[in-house]
Amino acid sequence: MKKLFRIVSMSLMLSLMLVIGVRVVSAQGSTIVIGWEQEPSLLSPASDMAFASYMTNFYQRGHVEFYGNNAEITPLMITEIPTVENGMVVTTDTGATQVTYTLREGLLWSDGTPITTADCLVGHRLYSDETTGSFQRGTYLEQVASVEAVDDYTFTMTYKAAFPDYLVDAVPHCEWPAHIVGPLLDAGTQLQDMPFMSPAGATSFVGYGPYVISEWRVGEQVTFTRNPNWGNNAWENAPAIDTVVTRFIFDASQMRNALEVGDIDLAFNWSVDQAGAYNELADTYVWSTPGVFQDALWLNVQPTDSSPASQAMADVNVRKALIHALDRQKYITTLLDPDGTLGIQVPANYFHPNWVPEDVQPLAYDPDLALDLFADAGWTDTDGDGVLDDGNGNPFLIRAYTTTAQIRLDFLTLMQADLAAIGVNMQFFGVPGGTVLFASYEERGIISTGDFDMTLFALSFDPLSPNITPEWFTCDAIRVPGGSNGYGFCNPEFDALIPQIATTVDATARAELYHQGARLLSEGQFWHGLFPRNTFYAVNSAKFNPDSMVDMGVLTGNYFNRVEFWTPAG
Amino acid sequence: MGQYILRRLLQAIPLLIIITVIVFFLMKTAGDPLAELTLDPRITETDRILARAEFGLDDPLPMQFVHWLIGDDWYTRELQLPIQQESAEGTCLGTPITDGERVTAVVDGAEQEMLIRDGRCYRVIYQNGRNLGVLRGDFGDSIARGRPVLDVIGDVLPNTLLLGITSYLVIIVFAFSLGIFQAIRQYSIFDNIITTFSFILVSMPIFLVALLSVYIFAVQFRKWGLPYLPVQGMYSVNTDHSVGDLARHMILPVFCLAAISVAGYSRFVRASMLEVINSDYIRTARAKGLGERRITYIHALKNASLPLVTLMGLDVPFILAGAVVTERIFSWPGMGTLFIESLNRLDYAVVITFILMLAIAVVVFQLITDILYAVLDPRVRYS
Repeated sequence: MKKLFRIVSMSLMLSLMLVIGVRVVSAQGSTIVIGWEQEPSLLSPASDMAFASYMTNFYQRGHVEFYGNNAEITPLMITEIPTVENGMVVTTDTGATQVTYTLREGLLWSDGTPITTADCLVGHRLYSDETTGSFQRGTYLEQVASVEAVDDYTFTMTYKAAFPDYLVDAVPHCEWPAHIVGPLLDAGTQLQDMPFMSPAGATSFVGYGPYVISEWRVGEQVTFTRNPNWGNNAWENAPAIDTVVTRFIFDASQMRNALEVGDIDLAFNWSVDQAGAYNELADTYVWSTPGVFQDALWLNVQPTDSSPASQAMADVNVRKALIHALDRQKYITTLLDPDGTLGIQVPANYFHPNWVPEDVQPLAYDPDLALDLFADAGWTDTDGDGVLDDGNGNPFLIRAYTTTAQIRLDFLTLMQADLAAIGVNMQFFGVPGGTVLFASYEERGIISTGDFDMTLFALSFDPLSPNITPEWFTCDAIRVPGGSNGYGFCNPEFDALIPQIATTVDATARAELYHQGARLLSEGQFWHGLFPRNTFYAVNSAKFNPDSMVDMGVLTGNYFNRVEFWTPAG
Repeated sequence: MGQYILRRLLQAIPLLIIITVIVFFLMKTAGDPLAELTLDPRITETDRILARAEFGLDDPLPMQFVHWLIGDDWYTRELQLPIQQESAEGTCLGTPITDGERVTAVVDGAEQEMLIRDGRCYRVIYQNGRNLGVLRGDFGDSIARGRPVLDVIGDVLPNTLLLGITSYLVIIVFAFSLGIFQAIRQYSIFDNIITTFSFILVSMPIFLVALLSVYIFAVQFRKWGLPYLPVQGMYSVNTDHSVGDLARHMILPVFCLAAISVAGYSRFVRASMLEVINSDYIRTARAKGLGERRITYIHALKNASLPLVTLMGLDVPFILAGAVVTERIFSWPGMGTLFIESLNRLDYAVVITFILMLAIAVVVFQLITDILYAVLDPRVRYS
């Protein structure tokens, strides 16, 4: 009897657990839950800049927007994009650029207050006063001379010199409401100390965007609901989804599980090696968008090692031969995209495709041409041992370095096999990135000191601006303290182009200068793309329409800008 | 007893100071929490200088410890902020000045101290700190979060306590029930089965238990059409914090936290109970005709639980620390997650406060354990 009683009790307990475990799956078609791998600490640019800024796009928009994967520019808070042609961008007597902006009439903050020039002046005050504690002001202080109000909806922004990047860098900041931020600045409050910046006060944040913050549960989720004052104007697309929830999931495998069991609807920013696992999920659409990092091979133009093979790297034809021997698209297919569904291609140039001329293309896989180029450079298999040599018994042996990331080591393994097939030996080493590979010149970092033949890593570019990061590839940055040109690429013609690109306001002339720069870099044959670091997404396609989401943007300030265009399935 | 408690508390003070000093200097030498700012082109040199001054990162290390202890509101820092505007050689904003010299001039209607260093103009400002120090109840601001440390910890501590205390209650109930059951039915089929499962669970790392339980009770149960459990967070997305919803979300993390401990503790209870129930006084009790239940739960269990009290007394403070792996896997917003994140970001104010709290809890619970020991065993007396 007692045993029976115990068995019944245990069964009841188990049943209770199962009943408690029943999920209430309600119709939540107008709520999308996004799995988010990090939580912003504060609604302040002072910390967690990347993730905080992505989330900002739900509730705080700027004067222009860069929509979609190609970053097309669209006026949002202003009536039109200022250009030289429409007379809104002029050059002053001192040679400085002056831009006129006209705010649209009818813009409202989320609390219903009209948006006027006064708000843009408060933004200028915030960004131009270095004691206001806004850490993300970038080049604003260096570039902007003044912002002047013309009337309630028009203002001018004057730069200190010619400044063609006025649309993407040192831009006007009209995203802070003067009636709220102004009095706080008057009282000496720092931006990060303003009450609406913290999780407890976040629901009082007043912004201009499709959603407002309705709840922030620390460590768990932030909930955004429709902004009642957005969507009344033609340029404001009223969101089809009522609520957006960003749910914090810190573990990568749990992100996938959460999507599978329906806890979240959209998982993003997961690594490429999980693509197969996500593809297996039912009712799930998987896609990727371009990132700002590209993994690439960097070849040493001015070798420091005295071995004959290393010294041969100084010959541009030897560098070309090495790349012709590599079937880079095959590596992508083998390691990243076996089904070809992700459409990953070998990058053509270091810079964003928007700024690269069509005639710059990746070197094709051609092992015969590679052997010819090696032979022209004096490297053939003279002793029949299957390894190229210089005729003096010196085999062609080079050293490649990368980080400890497994995917990079896998790429190098496949490359090693292709090179061996034409008689080139390559040793490769996976070393700690921060402390060894990328360490500074003073700390004897491998790249900074040029102590390599080939290296594999990723650098980022700015998809919104064609400005070249000068110090990375100029002659005066080669292997000096503080310099970052460990590759040894040096072309005075390229160096001369950099300041021209940075100060040429005319868009067509600037693009032409930039194309020249891209060609010179390409001719240097020291950078060869391997694979782009795309951002990966998976969405519950039974609940949401993937077609409305795929043009997500690139990994920079315009991320998630299209959230108001997302639609439920059906 | 009172004197004993007082002595123990006084003994704890140097211990806490030593722990604090070690942790402070270890964290401070681990790296620069604002180093990544130097790589971000959006952050100007002036902003970097101001940010570093706010947290006193450029002060000498012993001085940083003094500031952490008694505050820096009395301490004035000299900051040299680079002047962005171009100046002619040998001048700063039109004022003639030589390298290394300091000049005070009126610029834009305000007096400004300036200097030239290595050919570059700097504006000199003086700033007092804002930190009151630990001894005045101010544990500083979190560098990563820009908020007071106590606020940051206060956000997540209740969640950790909820998970930890619930798990602990489950552990106590099941460990004692299973241990006693096994001891009074030594070598029975139930004893052997539970022993086998105990060994399996004790041998498994907690992340494996967590991932397996997610796979079975959430992923597979859903595939099989069975009711399944939520896998992350404290509440479902569209709920208003109901107790039932919270209970559903707690099942898997509590199960994971409790399973391994129950397996381990039940072995202790079993061994301890076996030793006691075979002793003379229990035989005497039986001879006197006392009921088996009374013998087991009153006379045997009290003595058998003595070693467990010590063991659990050591473990209880770690409820405060949170369960790093479990909290991370189940996205439970607790102390464990906060600690790891703060450690990764060298948010030293949070880490030091966290460890200080833990050290105090260890000292206090050790004391409570000793007192409890005396209550359970009248032969134990402290003087």
